[in-house]
Amino acid sequence: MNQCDQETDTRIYAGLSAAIKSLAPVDKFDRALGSKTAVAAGLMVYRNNVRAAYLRVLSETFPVVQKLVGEKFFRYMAHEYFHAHLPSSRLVIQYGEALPGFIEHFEPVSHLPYLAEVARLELAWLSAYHAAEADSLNEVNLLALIESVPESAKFSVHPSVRLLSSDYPVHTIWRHNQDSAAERLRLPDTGEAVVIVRPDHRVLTSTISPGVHACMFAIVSGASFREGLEAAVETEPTAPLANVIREIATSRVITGVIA
Amino acid sequence: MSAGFHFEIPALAAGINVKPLHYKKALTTNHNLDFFEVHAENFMGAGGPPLRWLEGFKAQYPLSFHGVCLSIGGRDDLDRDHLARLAVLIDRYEPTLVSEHLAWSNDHDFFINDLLPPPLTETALQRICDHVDLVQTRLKREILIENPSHYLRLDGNEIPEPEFLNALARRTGCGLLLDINNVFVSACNIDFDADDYINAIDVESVKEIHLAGHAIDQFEDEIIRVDNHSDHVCIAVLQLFRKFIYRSGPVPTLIEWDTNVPTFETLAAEAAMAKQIIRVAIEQERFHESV
Repeated sequence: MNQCDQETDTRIYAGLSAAIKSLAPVDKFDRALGSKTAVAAGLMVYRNNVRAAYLRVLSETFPVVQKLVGEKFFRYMAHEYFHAHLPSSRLVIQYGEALPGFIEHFEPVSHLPYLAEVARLELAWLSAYHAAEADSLNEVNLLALIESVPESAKFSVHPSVRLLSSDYPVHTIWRHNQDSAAERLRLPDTGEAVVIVRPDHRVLTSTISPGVHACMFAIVSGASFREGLEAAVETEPTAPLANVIREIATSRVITGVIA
Repeated sequence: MSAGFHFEIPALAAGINVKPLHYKKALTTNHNLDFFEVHAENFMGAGGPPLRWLEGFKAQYPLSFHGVCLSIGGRDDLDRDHLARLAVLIDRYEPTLVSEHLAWSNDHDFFINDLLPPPLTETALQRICDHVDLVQTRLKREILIENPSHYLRLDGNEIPEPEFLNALARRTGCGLLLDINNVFVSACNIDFDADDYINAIDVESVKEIHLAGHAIDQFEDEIIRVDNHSDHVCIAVLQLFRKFIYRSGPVPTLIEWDTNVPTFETLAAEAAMAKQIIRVAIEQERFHESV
């Protein structure tokens, strides 16, 4: 590369991307020709386009978080997030993955301790939405399968299964905010465990008992069905096993037996 | 180069870039649209509703995949993982057209997620040719490259953009996607003659045309046109379109509308209008040839 082209390269690629990232006054940009206002106007278009595109990704990923804090504050938070986590992935859909952690340490929302958990639920929902296809067993087929295999059998789970356990009633908050006309909510004073799965075209979310959560978590982590049930008993000694099995069977998280 | 698509797009054809809110209408109602375009990157998940919809489109209509993230105009090496994802998608859905941009959207560790124009130098041209060669080899097919929108008159350009695009097509065998709104917006923003630009493009390379609306913004006393696909195609763009078609003959034409997306019927009507302009331009051309 000749020196002149090398210079042009650096001026344009490094110069423009730095100017887009930066918040420095736009009239300092010296890589373009024309009047100062023309250059400033052009650069503002890029800065706005880039931030608006990423804001759109976040509001599409976290509609409930946006609803809880309001559009205006969400825009401010998205702007702060952009500068704290400069995007590097072409998979723009993953841009929001660090938002729950960011929210946890974002001082202006420290009075909303459940907000990060709601963000986690929304991320889990989105990743279930885009997860691979598989056929999950319905209640009848799964109960028949359980009858026919040894207790040491391991089950395969649907690729869209996501489990969450929160100290806050995160699913109740999330579901309540799906409906814009919903009435004032009386929140339970306990945490909630949630299972998310997309057995067909729709993402299903439901609150599950701590025992069922422990059992599903064990199965997802590769434990046998028996070990799963043991985990349920350990977490929730009073829960009847028959109920745990029924809840698992109706959840559509299991796709079959691992050979 | 052979492509494994199963639907041709006729030369006299008009389509839209289809948004999720219109998928159902596009697939279940009668309309006059000949093909549909989607952003390839919106279908790079492992499964789920987006890919199910895409199956539906594949079964009924010719598809065009428009990529926005390859950063072909960048100074960095192409992202092989991203190219592999695109290849999988193309194998599975067999689009008739595949396009990308004369633009960069990534620089080193910063994924900018916007389409920035590359420097127009011989060095950049050679590098972009290499990128296009690599993409076409990997995808085993021709791709089309779209002209970008401009908001800044960048310092150091040596080759006029139409010449740059013609050379890119000549050297790599790629086609061109001529976005006439981009030409108009850029001509206004950085001050060149849109007619000259359109006239300088090699017509035989152009395999698709984009039409879109834009916004007019103001910064202090500076008027700037923003290519945000938020409105009807403006008259000036339609006039440029007619002039180009008059010279090129019919080329599959697509209406892009991404912001303030109107009803499906409005989009279909916009596409029908574009098709009518093509018909009239061909008639006029035939008339002039016959006298």
